[in-house]
Amino acid sequence: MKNTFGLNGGVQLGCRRNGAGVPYLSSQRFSPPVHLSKPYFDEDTQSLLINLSCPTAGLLAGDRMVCDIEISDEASMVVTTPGATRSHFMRSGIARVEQKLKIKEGSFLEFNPGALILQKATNLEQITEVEIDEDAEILFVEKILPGRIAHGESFVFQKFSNQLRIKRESQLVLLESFVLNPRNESALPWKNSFPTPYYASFYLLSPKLKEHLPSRDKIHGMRGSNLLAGVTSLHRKAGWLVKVLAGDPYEFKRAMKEIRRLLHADMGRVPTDFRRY
Amino acid sequence: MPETKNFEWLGGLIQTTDTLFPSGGYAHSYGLEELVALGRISSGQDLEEFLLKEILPALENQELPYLRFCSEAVKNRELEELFDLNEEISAWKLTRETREAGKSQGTQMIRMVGEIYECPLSAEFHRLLHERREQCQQITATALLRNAQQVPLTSSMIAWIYQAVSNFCSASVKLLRLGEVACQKIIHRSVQKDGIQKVISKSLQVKRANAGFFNPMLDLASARHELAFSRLFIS
Repeated sequence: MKNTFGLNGGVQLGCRRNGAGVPYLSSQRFSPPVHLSKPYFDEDTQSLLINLSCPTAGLLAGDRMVCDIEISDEASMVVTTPGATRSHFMRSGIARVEQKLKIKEGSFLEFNPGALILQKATNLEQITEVEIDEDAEILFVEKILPGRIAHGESFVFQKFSNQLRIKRESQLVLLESFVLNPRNESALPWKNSFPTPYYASFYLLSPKLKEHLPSRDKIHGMRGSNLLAGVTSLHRKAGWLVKVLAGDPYEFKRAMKEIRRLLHADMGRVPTDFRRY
Repeated sequence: MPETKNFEWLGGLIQTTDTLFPSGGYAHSYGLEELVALGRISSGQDLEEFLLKEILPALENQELPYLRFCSEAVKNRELEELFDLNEEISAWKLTRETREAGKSQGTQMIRMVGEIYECPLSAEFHRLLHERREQCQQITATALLRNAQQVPLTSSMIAWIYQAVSNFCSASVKLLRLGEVACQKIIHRSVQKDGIQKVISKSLQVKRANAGFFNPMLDLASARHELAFSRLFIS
């Protein structure tokens, strides 16, 4: 079968701790459309900060991007991007993103990239699989914008297919799957939530937070005419899901920052500075 | 229209779809109570739009395909597959409130199947769940029930749509003070022939890998309802 994909690349990272207990990249491999910046060890949070950038300025038709991360040995790592990920105009074909995250042996991973922007006529398929040990922790964050809202572009993408599976100790605890096409009803609930809706989800799994999330009331209290947030627990009490909808970019940004701070505090952690300058 | 002679299943379907059948659906608002509290739904017209533009597409892309997958597993007597589907349903019910509602209704339903029907397959699945300390989701239990009743798949799907729509309308009587006539008109328009046929035929094409629906506002409302200061419906 003819390979219709453009760039077929991505990143593979392994993270462990050295003899001094400092996290380091025990394995790394990357190729376009991903570039890996030099890792930074944050002494205050004892986390290794990784910035993944995209030399091609975003996802184009035919691209396949694989992100494969495994963290073990009680290491702590934060993965982000310097800015938003743009899924660009596609005349034909699709782009595909495959993310596999494994968190083992009491480790912690924060996977918190910039927003995914679904630009005009783009067609993107994203599949994410998270596997986590009982004693490990993850904060997985997804931010999605329905277009370049500042340019008046909203809900003119072609199709966005997204699937997230989270397994803890091989048991499925979350399955979120949807296909959005603004030309049918599939995108209407999101489109009708606010005139220009910004969407985000936090998925937090931690053995420390099985029964109770201390910041839940505070997050529910972050309510305004342009902002709503809701918190609920995952299947098998594996963790927590926080959903955010906002009609204003500034409120969205403020809420995202505050919720991140609160969730880290609930885990007994301090958020690592993303060092975006 | 020629009347089919094979209607033995119809009485059972009516009995188990009726509100007198103890499924517990009347106790849940499935996020509607919080949508009303947030001012997102405030009239019969809003409710009808919500049902037609948000609930029917969700049924088409998520619940009805899973009812079909479960029915196929039951028909093929694949209990491990049915168990996996039951787990997937619990995992895609994103909020605790909807997940627990599905489990409590499913648990009640599979118990009633055992009380009313001779169905060794349901009994075996019930035993398997008990052994693994898992609970039955309503969709899974419905597939077992309809199999015991020998209800054709399309009729099972129509009954599922009706129940989903009528549950919301029943809750709206208390939440929006809708009158009975207004309520019945909304149900009538929501389950009218052309619309239902479209929903069912599209849902039959949905594959397991693509089954799902995105309604962040309803998820958010359901999540917020879990901690609401005052509530008429269970959370």
